[in-house]
Amino acid sequence: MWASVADTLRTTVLPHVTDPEARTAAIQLIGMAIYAGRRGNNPQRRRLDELSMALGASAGQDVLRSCSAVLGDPYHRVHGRIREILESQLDEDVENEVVLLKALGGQLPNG
Amino acid sequence: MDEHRLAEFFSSQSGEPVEVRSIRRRNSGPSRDTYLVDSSVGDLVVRAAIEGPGAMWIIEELELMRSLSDAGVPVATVRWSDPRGDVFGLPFFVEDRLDVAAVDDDPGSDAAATFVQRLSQLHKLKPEAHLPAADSAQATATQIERWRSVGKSTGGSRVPLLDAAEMWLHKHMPLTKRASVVHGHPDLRSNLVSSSGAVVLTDWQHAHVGDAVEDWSYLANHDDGLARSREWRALAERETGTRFSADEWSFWQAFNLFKTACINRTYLGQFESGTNRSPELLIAGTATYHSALRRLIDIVQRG
Repeated sequence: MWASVADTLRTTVLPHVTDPEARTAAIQLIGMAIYAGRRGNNPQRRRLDELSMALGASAGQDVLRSCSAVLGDPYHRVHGRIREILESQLDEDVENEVVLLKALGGQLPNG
Repeated sequence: MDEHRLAEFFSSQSGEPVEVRSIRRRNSGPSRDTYLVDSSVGDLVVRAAIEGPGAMWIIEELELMRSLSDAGVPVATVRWSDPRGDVFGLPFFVEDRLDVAAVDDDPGSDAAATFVQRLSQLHKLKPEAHLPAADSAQATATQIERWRSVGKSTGGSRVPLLDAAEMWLHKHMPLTKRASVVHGHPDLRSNLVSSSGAVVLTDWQHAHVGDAVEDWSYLANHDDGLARSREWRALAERETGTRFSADEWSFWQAFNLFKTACINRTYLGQFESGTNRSPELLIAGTATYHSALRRLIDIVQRG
């Protein structure tokens, strides 16, 4: 479905859009459609489970609060592991969102 | 923004019937929206507060622009204002929009040289003459807290990496040698470079009392300036006759990325609440936010 949105905007709509602002918005929408088609399920639950498992006994009711506490203590036994997981999750977002950044910069994204 | 009510307001202020031909919305920050208005009395910019701290901030911005203008700083001319929010429920002001020339991000351009001079002149002003009194020893800590509050203002999950960066900033704050009026968001797009070459400073919503290196680092490291960061830094060092230390530069890079990340976090909240559903805002609230956070974490890890 999202592939159809992106393709139609690219091949049918965009060639007829001459107003610069409308063109910019159309390119951003193409980027969003490609991103939406690729991103899969919301990763939040999986990510929290991964962090909770790494925290072990240090996991409180609010997993992210527990992670903040661990990051604030450089001597905590899972400090390095939690940081590694959080950075890996951030990198996953950054990688998936490259298409959005390109579109924001006015580049017509591939895909 | 309702065209009819805006036209009524313009007419009441100018004493003549004013026609508003078009209004185009621009995303411009966590506290206010910007609208480009084509009217029978010229091209205008409307800066309008949004919910939250926006109402207070926009009045401070308006007062600062007037104060700086009185001191001879070239700021965009404020034509009219509604500080009580009588027209739309929240305060706004209207500034003249110059005949804007295309601006590139070349640090070797005349516009860049003029801009850096203007910024340097701004930093030499006495801050207490233009901004509410602030303890210079606490100025940086106050700003870290300010952006932390902004980042959390639209709710959402806790971000442990952002919390860790905030702790790092508090731990690595350099001593502010001299308190200055800091623009807070200086890039060439914040300036209106007219076809006659005039450089006028605008977009004062983030101005505050602080360390001038914040502005120089922002100029050299924000998205548009990044590709030529070293040249921007060299230009700033030449203009100010100062060499920024590596630690100082790293700190302010991290601070500005923290600020960017906190601001961009709010955009996703604005998008999700329906305040603004533009694709640009969604991208700023996701991809730009994560990109800034990644760069911030890289500095924190090095440091």
